[in-house]
Amino acid sequence: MSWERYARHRDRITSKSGGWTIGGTATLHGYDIHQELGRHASWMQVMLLSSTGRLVSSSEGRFLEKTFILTGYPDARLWCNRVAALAGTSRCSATSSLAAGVASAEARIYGRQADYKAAHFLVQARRVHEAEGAAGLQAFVMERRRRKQTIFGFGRPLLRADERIVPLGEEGAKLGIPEGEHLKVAREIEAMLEPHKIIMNYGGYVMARLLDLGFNPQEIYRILTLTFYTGLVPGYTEAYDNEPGTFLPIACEDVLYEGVSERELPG
Amino acid sequence: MAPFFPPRPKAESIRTAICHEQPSDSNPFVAQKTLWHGYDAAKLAERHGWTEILFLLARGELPSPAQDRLLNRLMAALANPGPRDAAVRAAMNCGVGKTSLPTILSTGLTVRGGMAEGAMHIEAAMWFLAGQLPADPERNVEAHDHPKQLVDDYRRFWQEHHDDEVVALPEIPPGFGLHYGDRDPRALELLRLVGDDRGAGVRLALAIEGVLAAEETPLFLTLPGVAAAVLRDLGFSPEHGAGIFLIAGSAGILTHGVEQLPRNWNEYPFWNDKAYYNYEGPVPDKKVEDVA
Repeated sequence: MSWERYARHRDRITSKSGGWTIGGTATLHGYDIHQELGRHASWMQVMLLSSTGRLVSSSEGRFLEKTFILTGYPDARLWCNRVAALAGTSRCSATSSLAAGVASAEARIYGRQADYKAAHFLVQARRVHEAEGAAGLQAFVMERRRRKQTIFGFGRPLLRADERIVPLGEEGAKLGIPEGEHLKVAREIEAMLEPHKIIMNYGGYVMARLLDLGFNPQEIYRILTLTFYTGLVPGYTEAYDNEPGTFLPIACEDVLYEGVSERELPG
Repeated sequence: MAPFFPPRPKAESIRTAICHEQPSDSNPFVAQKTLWHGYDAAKLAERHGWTEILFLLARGELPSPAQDRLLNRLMAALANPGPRDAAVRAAMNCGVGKTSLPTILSTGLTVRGGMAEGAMHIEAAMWFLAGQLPADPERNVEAHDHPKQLVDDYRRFWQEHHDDEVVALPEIPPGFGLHYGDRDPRALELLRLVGDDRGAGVRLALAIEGVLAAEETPLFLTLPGVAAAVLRDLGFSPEHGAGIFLIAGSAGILTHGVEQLPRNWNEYPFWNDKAYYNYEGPVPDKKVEDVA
């Protein structure tokens, strides 16, 4: 019967990740949440465990924490923060506002889609480098340039440096996080793009570091869901606390109308 | 009328071709008259229905009576995905948990956005029917593309690029497949509703169905596939089409979600019996200290 495989899943949830024995144990990827994770792991380690099934060391967890801290800018000009602030000035609930801010940060030009594509690109670039060396990598990168394709992880509007990379690199060194092949390839690409005035951006740097920690692009994408969270909350809170409608109100004349002139309805 | 404020650079202005709000004489933030694509919004609301205005906002012109009838039929057919649908169930879960109302609806709409039969699928199907998977601005599907060529090109494209995006495209050409293992009766019903209003998009979709149905594992048009073809025939972009699919289903998402609001938590299944939950992972005896 064509519907048999659906019938097999009816009234049946299966999980390899964990669960809760009602009134009893709660587990996550083989760890007891109450007896082990609650006592000995940080929230970041548990978040990474829930996202990937893999428990990282406390040093790696702290390194990941730094990647979040260094990019949580509480500036409501930034698009996702502005979403949260607009929700605040509209007196939306905190949960829905911050969820909207997180969801809006799944953006191709600066957020999670850009992260994923940068990680995906670096995986491909490393493969090319392994197989064809520096010359092959150069051809791979320049072909993208020739086709006018975005090289995710590289380039930053307005600025010629990314202020987040040095402090993260320093924290990584302090924590003993090794630099690996993906970062080496990323630096080679940055050198190739230097004549074009394109720098490696924070996304490219973080993707290389996370790939070097053994995460794949899909895992990285999930891990970074809340990356901008600390930047979202202040804008929401201030806008919520202020008089409704006073966050960046737009006057009628501030909107540049580019459409057809006034016309009569047909008939 | 003289502006209230000094002029601002174009790059720092919000730009739109859809809505023009003319300020009142005394308050720059209050609109005394609003135009949508040049028409007085107040008069539009008096004389035209919701689907006509939706069409106008998306396409810039009011629909013909035939276009409006087709859009209405499509949206009516999609109005209630029903209580077994994942998006509706998400809203119902919110309702029984007493989540606040806006989130009941927005949660359901989020789930309706997915690539499996959701808005992302509609968008993908519309790109596919436009001959743009892979993207090719030179391609004109109405002029010369053979349906089999579109299928072959999509399969090649999928092999090479299916992991390019955060949510992968379906392996089967979007808009086609099976519904719980069978031919999708909802697709046939929607085709019947569309009747003589079938345009080039629906005809192409049927031609592709002819190719896929003749393969070793026969596949057919699905409900999202027919919806995508109709939306294409109505001239909507894939992005607008995906959004219209979301909006159309919002009626059922809202009402099923709200229906659960007054109910107690135990009037909605939690699947409390432990037999329902099957753990297939490792024995939970791992130790944090074992991680270096």
